[in-house]
Amino acid sequence: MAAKGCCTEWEQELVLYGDGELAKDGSERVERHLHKCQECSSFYNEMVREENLISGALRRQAAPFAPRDAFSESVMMALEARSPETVWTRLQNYLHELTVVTYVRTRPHMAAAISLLICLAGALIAPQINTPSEDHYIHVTRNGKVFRVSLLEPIHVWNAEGEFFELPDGSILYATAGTWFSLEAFQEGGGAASVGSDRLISLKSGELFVDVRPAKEAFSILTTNSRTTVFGTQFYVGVQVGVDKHTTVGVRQGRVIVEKQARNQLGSTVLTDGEETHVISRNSKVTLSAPDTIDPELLARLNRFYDARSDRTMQRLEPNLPAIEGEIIPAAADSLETALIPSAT
Amino acid sequence: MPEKTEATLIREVLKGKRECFRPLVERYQSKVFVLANGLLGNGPEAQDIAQEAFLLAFQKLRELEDPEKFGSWLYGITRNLCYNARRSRKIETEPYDESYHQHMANVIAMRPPGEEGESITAVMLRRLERMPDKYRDLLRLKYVEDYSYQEIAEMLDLPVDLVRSRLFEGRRILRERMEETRSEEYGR
Repeated sequence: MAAKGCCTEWEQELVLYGDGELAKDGSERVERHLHKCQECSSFYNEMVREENLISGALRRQAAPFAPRDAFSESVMMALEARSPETVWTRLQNYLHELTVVTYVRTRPHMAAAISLLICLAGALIAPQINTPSEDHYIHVTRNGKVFRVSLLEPIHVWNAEGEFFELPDGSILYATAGTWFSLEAFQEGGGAASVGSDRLISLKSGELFVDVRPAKEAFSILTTNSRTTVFGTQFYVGVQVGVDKHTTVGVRQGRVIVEKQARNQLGSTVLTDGEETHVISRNSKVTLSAPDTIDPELLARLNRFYDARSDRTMQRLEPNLPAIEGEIIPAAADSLETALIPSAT
Repeated sequence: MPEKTEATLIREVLKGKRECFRPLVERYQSKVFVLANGLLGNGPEAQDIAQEAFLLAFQKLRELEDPEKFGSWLYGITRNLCYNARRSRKIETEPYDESYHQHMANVIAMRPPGEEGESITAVMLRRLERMPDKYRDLLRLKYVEDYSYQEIAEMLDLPVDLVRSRLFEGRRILRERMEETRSEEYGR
């Protein structure tokens, strides 16, 4: 069935003309026809009018979410967060380039032989790199007291009582009362030599104020529904655990990327100075809100943290909490490797 | 300084210069977003998928056999992510809803003459959403960015002739349904 009021044989031509898909002579032919055929002219004008309406509506739907200047930056940050660039990856790239690009085209058998040699060498060397020796400890300062910690297991901190922690990379954390978190990072890299190569904290509940020492490697905080990655900044992460899990991330200074951590649900946003976002899990759906101006009260707390972090006086941050001697509890009671032993020095 | 070709940028990325991936993102971000939005019809989700498509492309860049075909390869990744997202949220074309149809006809009839256009737009959008996927995906791409048939064919990995015929058929169906709505309105 042809469109109402249109010569059947011209309908397709008119659509192609409207889409700019006709060559010059075809367009001219259609234009001549439109000039002399009132029915086709009315049909064409109505078609254009309706398509403009629907096109405008669809564009309005898409516009608020169209990629902005920040999109490529967001992709590059997410890339760094997901697969940090290390010396090893660079070496892999270099070797790949050397073997594949140089040899494959000219000497495929040599490429295969070299790849095999690289694999063998890697298999021999990798365990040496990743096996921590007895000397591989890190030092964590908790409320001014230095602890020597083994790197073999995550270090759990239950019920912090409003305390400062200084990590081996110089980053400073403040955990409010009742906060439960674990340091995952400083054992994953496999030794003191690689401290800072993968800085990862898992926040189970409570609040952390963080002043990350700038470094090339990303610093991440995982919660039940989010991953916050930074490269040197002052920010806050809080988790309320209940029926609905609610993560709040606020930034005093710098840039952080916040990603949803949920199966089959993707999403991330970039926060800059004075912005906050919320990640909420409800009925198995995780939502990530758009960046908004930081809550003034949270900003005031972040400012107090920033002022207090140099002398580590927690009273200035949470004046109602008395300072107590902290204790880091090992992940497993029978694992002496994870026990936090006051440093001999 | 002349712009680097895509093949050159890809070779640089594979050598370890990941900053060279940024110009590729900037070059394709609009099309990847519009494609995802066309397939999902949901702006925020489309933006998430667009980002995921670039991250996956970076991870799998070594699997790209012909660097000259980066664009169509990237569209393929985007399409797969969109189809997976559709499956996981079980998008289904809504069943025909007579009461809605009646309601929209009422809205059109009750509006003052100057505001008629807005109602027609709402009806057309609803009609579009109810179209079969094979027409709706193409029409969304055409309407949002007015891409050429060739570009749409490349984004959806379809022959150009099929794009031409489906766009024609899809629009005809859409127009016919609009005519039905108008007839009901006048017939009341």
